[in-house]
Amino acid sequence: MAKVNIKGLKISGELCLVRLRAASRDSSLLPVFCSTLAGSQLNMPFLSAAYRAGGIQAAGCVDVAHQASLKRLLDAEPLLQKHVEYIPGVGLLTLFPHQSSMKLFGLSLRALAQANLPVFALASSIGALTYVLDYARIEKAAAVLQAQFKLAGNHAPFRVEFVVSQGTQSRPGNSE
Amino acid sequence: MSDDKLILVVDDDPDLVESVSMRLENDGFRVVKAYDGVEAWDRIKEEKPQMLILDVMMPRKNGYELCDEIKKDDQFKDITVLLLTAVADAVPSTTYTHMDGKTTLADDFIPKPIDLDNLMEIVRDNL
Repeated sequence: MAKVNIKGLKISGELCLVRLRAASRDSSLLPVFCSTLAGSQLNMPFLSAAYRAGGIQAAGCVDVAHQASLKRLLDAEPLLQKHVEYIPGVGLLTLFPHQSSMKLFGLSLRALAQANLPVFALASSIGALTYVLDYARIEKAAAVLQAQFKLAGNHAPFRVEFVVSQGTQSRPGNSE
Repeated sequence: MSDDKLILVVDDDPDLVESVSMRLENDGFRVVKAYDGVEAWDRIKEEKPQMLILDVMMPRKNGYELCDEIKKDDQFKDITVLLLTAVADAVPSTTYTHMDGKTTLADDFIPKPIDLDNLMEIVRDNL
């Protein structure tokens, strides 16, 4: 079977994942979580949130250097304390273009599962499909997906060369 | 009517490429896409677009470098280049902008974050 074409892969720098989970559909949790994150002024290369039948689930990533700041902010919010968990040492692996392709989604998720690579969170957009993975194994994950898909010959480097961020600081090696 | 004009959209942000491309296609333009400056040069040679919508900060070859190379190339210098820039001091009354000591020639500038209605006005004004 012919491999599915993709234009490129992107690998972020090391990040910290924060997850919000609540079994209830308490409508105040997600707004408090999001407004606290927004108020933190920390750049977030990944954010997803959903109300589901089983409750609320949201996930966000910040640069690992901002992990302590993020934890301090969220832990200060009493409503969130029981529902938030932190997973340091993650990274983003992004495939593009996605364009709502279920085939791309299915093939990539299956390939990661078959390689025993845990997926902590994922999100799709009009342009890209992004997985949150163990940063220590993200190069392996990139290799797994490279084997699964046909990558454009003249693709850009996987690692981001610069960062554009709101605020005053920028560091190489982290995602936009 | 777009008269089937071909526009190359170049940005390392896949979501920006898709959203701009969708709007252009909805307005009747043909679109090709590239995700950095090196790939863009390949597309320019293959597809010969009438216009480039070009980001500034990209891996391998940035928008300033690519714009200058295009404008110095006799075969491609007539391609209209619209530079996507967050540079606050881009001077709309001239064809020059300036950032980090780099000066480049572009036909027009599109400020980021992009207002798609404004983008379409600039595209139509320059074709």
